[in-house]
Amino acid sequence: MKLHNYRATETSRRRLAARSGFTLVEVLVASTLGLLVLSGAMLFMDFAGKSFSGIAAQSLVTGQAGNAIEFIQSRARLATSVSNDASGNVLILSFDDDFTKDSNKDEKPYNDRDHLEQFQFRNGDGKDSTTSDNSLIYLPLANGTSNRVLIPSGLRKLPGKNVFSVTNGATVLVRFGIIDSYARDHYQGIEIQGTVVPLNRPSVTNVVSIIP
Amino acid sequence: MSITLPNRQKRQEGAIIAYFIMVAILVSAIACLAAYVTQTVKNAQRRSDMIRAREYAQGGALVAAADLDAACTNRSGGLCSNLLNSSKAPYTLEPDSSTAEENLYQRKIATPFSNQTVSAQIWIPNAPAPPEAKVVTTAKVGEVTQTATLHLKMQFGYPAAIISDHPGTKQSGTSKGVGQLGNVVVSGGKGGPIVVDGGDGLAILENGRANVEAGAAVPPSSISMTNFNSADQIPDYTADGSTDQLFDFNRFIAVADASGNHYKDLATFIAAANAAALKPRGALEGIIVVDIWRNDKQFGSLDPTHLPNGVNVRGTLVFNFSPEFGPMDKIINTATMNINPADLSRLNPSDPSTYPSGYPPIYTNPAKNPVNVDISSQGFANFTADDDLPALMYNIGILDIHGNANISGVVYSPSFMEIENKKDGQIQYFKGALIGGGGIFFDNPNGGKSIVSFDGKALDVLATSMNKGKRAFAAYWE
Repeated sequence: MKLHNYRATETSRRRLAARSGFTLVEVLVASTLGLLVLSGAMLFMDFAGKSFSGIAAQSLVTGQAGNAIEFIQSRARLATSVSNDASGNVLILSFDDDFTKDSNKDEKPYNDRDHLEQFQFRNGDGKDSTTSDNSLIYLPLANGTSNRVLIPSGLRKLPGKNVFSVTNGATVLVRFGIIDSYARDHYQGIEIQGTVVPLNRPSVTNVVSIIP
Repeated sequence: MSITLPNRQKRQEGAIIAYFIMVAILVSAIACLAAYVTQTVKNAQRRSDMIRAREYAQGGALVAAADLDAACTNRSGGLCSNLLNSSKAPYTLEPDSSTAEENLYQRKIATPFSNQTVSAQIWIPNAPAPPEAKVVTTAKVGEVTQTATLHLKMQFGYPAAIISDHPGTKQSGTSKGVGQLGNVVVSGGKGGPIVVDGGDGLAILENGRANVEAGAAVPPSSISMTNFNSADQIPDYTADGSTDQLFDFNRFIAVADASGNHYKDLATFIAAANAAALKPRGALEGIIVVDIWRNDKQFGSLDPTHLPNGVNVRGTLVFNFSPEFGPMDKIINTATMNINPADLSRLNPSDPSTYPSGYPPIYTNPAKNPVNVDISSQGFANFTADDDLPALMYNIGILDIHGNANISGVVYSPSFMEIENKKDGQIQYFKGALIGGGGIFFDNPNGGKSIVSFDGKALDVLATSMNKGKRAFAAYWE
């Protein structure tokens, strides 16, 4: 028969308990290291977040600007006439709705101005400088109520330039910028400008234009 | 003192899971951002491809339009055969896609593009002289395909007040003899004004020389001359006396026959003209054809004595010289000629804005309107409302105009054209264009007024034979 040695078992348990604890120094060092690692991670997350936000915002405004100017060009390219208002905030395009019908009785059925379309730079508060409420709107019918928002906010004019300029009725120059107003990602933005010559412009207009 | 962490093994396992979750979140965020940026880049790439494809398609449409234009201006064959047999850019007829109304010709355009082809289709109405055509081109860049559609109009390609296709000579004089050598001569202006107004075209477009006397009002900048053997050469559409002329004379004669307007000699023409002139706003209407014979008893009777009220026509006057006439044989007209006359009450020779036009004519008798005369049974295409008909034309010889003239529309002669303002106070006014094949002499030596003013509306859709003189002009894009 084998008897259990209670004394030996108790001693072993105490030794194990003594080894499983941490000294105060160990805890302080570990806490300090943990805080350092944690703050590093937080800093990394913060920078990464800003970077992610900036990249996303830049992609967004770039896409918006590219899509908007491409759409303006696609419409202006087929317009039968182009003009802008005095402020350069509105681009007015006319289109022939029926190439077989001579609406203006000039013996050319394909150059009529049956309906007007507009692109408008709008500011919400009367100030162009506050970009957060500036938008770019497309009106499929100039005298209609329906519209399509191409750029909902952040639109801005380039310094000293109009958004829309038309020279000789033959060349449309479009210039604008978009700014992402979120400060923490350091205000991502884009400036874009492009020209378009309407292919269906009146024959009396020339294509030699001086870009202002 | 010691700090004890009970259940140490389990806490360590939990921490690993937490780290794993954090890493998963981080990787997911990076993956989402990457996916977003990738999608944005893809969109940008697709937009770029779309723009490039559209540019290629539109560029291809212009190349195809130039092919069609070359086929128009090359008069060695018909328009369609020129397209098929072009040495530089041959097209193929696609019978399966063609219809009874229009034929489809197509080719692949590779030049001038780099590593890009554009599929070009030209749709041409199935008619002897198609008035229009349509070019459809397709380009594919990446995964994006874009199509451009360009509608073309066949319009007269030489916009000028005076057009002469004779090679001419190098002489710079302003005598009639220099004009008879095939040059354009504008002389006079000392006693009364002589003006050649190009308007929105040119004043003079000439293969040979255009010699203008100092007193004549013709800006040098509106003269294009010595174009023979150059890229701007005007094709010879004025073969004297032949059937190969700018106009199909037989087509016009067919209309005159069908509408009772064909006068077989000068006597019947003079009688009809005088009878018509007695009525209010009296004029002969429609296409008026007068046969001219060398032995005609009234050969010298085109004068105020025999035509006291002049020759008044609304429409087209055709002098159909018999084959016995040569290019330098002439008939002189001193009687007043009013063909589609304009209201000259406010005419100021020094102000082109006061140059009115009487074109197109407004017919009082619709039955005489060439548009309403059916000549299809005689093998000719009927005239349409879009056609511009000339005001005065003759097939050979010279109609020497000495008297008053008020003519709106095109005046055409394959031979030498002689217009001389012989008397003080006379007005010789031409609104449209003079098209000559043997030189043109426009002279005002006395105190009259002589004006030729270009009017594009009178000739842009000129009813020429087989579209001669027409070029392909871009009308509109879809």
